[in-house]
Amino acid sequence: MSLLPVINDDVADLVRLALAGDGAATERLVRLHMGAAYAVALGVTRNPHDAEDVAQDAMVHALERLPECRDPRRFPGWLLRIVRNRALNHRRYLGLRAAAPLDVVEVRAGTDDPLDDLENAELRDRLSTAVGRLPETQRDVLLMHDLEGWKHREIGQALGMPDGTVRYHLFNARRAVRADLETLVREDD
Amino acid sequence: MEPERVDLSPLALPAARRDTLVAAVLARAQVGRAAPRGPLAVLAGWARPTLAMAAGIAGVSLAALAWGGSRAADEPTQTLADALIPERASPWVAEGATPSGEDLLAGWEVAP
Repeated sequence: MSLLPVINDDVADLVRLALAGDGAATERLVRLHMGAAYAVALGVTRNPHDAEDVAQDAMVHALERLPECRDPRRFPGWLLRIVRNRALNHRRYLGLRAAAPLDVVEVRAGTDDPLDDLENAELRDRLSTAVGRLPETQRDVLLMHDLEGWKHREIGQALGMPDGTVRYHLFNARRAVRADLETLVREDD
Repeated sequence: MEPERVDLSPLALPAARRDTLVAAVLARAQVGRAAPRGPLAVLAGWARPTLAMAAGIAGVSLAALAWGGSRAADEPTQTLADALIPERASPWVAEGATPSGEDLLAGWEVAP
């Protein structure tokens, strides 16, 4: 489920309210961006549990340093930079996963059928591998658009680029992921 | 022609996990706790390391002084006067006597 879109002016208002101590605004701000934070973290760590840890830590860090976000309209981009840096540090700390596929199949309690879970885990593995191979900007644009449902304009404002550039990155990202998935499927077969 | 959207839903954060994460973040975070620091605050931040370094330097200095003092006690005291007044002239200085010309000549010849 995508909680975005939200126009960036609303985000700016939420940031100001959160800074003024409004708990409801803080919760809304966190809830709106948690998915994107997780998606970006997952793109780097390629492990759901690590991604959750990184997203949570990054969000806490961002809230504590919220006064340092000079332009509240750019909060999403500012947050995602924090997430990406933390994820890269985490990956560096672990010293692995940069090129290797998931070494442990993460099976979440999703269905009653273990086979379904395994298939889901394999699919997630393939997807995260393909997405993880994308250049940073393409990966962020793809995750924010196709996973979190952000609009081109919102992504452009968050990442500081024109809508046309967002479309360009999205185009290339989708094409690269599709090609990569086909290769991965052939390799697995 | 834009490539078809990729179904990334397997990568999505499940709703229940999202709720858990949001709750965890809200429980941990204090908004604006780490407010930006002004120049005075930054300088104040150096107070502790500066004091620690000063204490270290003071300790080393005291140790050096104590070590030097104990060594100096073993050696005969050498004053500035000892260094400047030749040994032959010491009695004249001590007695307040003025050396004669012959004394000076004798001292000059012996000195080297």
